[in-house]
Amino acid sequence: MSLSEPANGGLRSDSPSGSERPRPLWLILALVVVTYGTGASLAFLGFGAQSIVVLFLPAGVTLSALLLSPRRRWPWILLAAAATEVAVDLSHGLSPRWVWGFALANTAEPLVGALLLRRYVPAKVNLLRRRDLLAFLVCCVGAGPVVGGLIGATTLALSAGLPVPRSFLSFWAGDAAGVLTVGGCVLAWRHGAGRPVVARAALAAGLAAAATVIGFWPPQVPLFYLPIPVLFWLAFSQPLTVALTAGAATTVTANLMTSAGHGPWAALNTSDQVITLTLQVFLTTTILGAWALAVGVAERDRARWDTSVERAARLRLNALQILTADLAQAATSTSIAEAIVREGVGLLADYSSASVVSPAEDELAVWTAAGRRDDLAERNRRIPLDAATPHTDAVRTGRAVVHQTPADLAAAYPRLADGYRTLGVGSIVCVPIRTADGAPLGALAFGFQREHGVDSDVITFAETLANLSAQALRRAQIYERELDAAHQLQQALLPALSGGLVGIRVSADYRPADVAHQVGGDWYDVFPVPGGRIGFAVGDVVGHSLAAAAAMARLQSALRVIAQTAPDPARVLDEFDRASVLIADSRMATVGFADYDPATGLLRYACAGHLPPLLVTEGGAEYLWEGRSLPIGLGQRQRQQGERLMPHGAALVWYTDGLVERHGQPVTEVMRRLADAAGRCGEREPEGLCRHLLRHGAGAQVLGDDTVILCIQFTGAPYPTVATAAGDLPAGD
Amino acid sequence: MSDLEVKTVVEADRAVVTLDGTCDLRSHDVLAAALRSALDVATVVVVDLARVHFLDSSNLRALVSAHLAARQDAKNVHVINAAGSVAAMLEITGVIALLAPPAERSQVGIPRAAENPDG
Repeated sequence: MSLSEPANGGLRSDSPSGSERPRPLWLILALVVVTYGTGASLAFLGFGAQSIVVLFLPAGVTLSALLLSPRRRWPWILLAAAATEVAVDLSHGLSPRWVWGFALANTAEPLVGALLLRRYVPAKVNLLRRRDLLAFLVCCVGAGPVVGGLIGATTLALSAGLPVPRSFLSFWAGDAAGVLTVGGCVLAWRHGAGRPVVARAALAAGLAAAATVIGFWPPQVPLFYLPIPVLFWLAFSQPLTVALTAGAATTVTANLMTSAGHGPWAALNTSDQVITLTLQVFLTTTILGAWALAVGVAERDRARWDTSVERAARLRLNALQILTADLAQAATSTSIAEAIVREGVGLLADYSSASVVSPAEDELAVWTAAGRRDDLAERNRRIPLDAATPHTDAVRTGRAVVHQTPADLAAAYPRLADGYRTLGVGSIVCVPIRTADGAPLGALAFGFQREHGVDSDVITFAETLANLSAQALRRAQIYERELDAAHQLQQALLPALSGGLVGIRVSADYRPADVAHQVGGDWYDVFPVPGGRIGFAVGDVVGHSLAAAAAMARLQSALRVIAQTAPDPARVLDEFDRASVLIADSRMATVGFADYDPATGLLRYACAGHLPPLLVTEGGAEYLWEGRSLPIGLGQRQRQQGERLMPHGAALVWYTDGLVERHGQPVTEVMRRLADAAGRCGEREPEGLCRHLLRHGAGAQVLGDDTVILCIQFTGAPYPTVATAAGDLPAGD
Repeated sequence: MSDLEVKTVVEADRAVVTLDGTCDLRSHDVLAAALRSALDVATVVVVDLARVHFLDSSNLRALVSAHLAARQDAKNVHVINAAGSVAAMLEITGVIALLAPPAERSQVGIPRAAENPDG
């Protein structure tokens, strides 16, 4: 029995089969008459009519008919059974005076059995469940035949003067064996779940019959146990229907063989009643043993099934927890989509993807995770919203898209059919991600290699994921808008590089970070200071968005004021440090400040925790490592400064950590590469250098942190200044 | 999820916080929380950076903030075993002067061209 289905018998508890599609009454009655008549005739002819103790198969026929029919049909069924009994009895020469007793016995018996069983098992009888099996044995195999046996024995006592106890025992044994074999078999077939296994059952019945014939053939060698291993093997490996059908075949064959004079029972030198009674006991014991084995196997399979279902549920719960934590940290649509494909989907399906509606609402950005999380292949693909794909369909309709077979998929998305075939996608579900008021945000798709992989559990889990994603995406949209506003404010706060500075050319750029990351208050400034010098600053304020931007604006103006009075960069930073005590959110800010005298070409610089400036000359690029001190607000006293004569035409690059901080890469390494890039560039004209270094630092991606870059070329006093005007700041292209 | 593993061992009034992994934006809150709770139970908190291969400025600030907070309560936070890029980060920003163990602090001072990544 495979684990993919919860064993024969199912875990469902449906309504009694009588309320499903009822078959026409005449068909039921005809079946009862024919099978009852055949069974009863067999009892007379095949099993030896002279002895009352026979295998009475019709007992199982009537009981099954009752159990499988609604109650309003019961009178008709009982009437048909009674009429057939009377007819068969009369045709075999029983006295018309007493046949009514047998008719009563054979209708009261199934009626009692069926009434009792329905009382304890009102729904489908699952013969693989202990409780149902016990109820069947007690009510139908036990209690019913007791009633039938009492009436039958009384009739026999009155008609033939036979002693009641012996007749009762014989009557009961014959009927109980009939109910067990036929009733059990019919119930297993009609109430069992799973695929019908007619061919297998026929084969098994043939095998069991053959084993019985062989076992009962030689009169001297005891081989009668041969059917036992066959039945047990079938009970272990096959659905109950197959095992019980084989059991019925064994029972019928053994009785036929015995009454034909074969087998150990026929050879017994005792009364016919003892022979047939012990034969039925042997057969029912064997069948019950096989049945018990089948119940045990079914319970084991069910337990395994439960375990695997439970395990899957646990894995999903775990994935949900990880995803929830990740979504809580994911600030942007991109990081949310990435978290979903990374954590949420691998456990649910073989393939999965997440899509997010673009801000313009005309296309979808799709992230794909192929396979499990460890071979996650993420890529960002854009598809127009009017394309025919599961994602766009789910977004447009707001409903889940489900396709359970490759043919179905190919028909729905002919243009994607090749891709599905290559991947081996058998079934998919795609659920929309929507806000509480139904606005579409995106979709989640899950693909399975097997057909019909989308069950109710999958859909429920997918919808849970979609709900989680919806909340996170909604939050991200708001956050992204706020951030955008903060960036605009910060951009507005950055100084307009005023013209009229003699001796330098300058260019600057500011790139807001990828919105997934914190935004610092990065700034730059260039302004004249007394003595014909030019002061310039680069700084980075700790913190987020608006607060950092405000701190940055205040620090910037404080620095401008202080630089007018303090004699050199080190003293500027000392005073700046003292002044910063009054400025909220300024602690741990880093600042680099320098002044340049065009008349002498002397550059003096000091770094309060800030990255060193990069000097680019004809000979290459080098960092200026003098003048280092602690960041602002950490109690640094007496800051240092460095000095350097600037060769004519040299350029100085000063920047914030966004330019050199790369995830997983040593900052020294990135700084070295930046210096190499600046040295190789050959360009020292500020605007070109700025662009070149930004491109080198960022590549095609958005930078991980806010980035400011300031490039100054020292042209010396004799040259006219061509300062970049504010409006000419290279925009973040 | 953060790639940072934090292990804190407390002995008497000294806590050793061992970090293992990457100290980036995602681990910033984890680090700050670990330092706070270590300071709750110990007066000296030693942060072992031997197994940290990346430390960004936000985590650096978490370390400095913890150090400043500790100083106000007459406690101490310092780092040990910083190597490679982490050591470079501490030195470039100068905060190694603040975060070095008290015994070494006087010798460290403010790094002066301690390391020129330019070669």
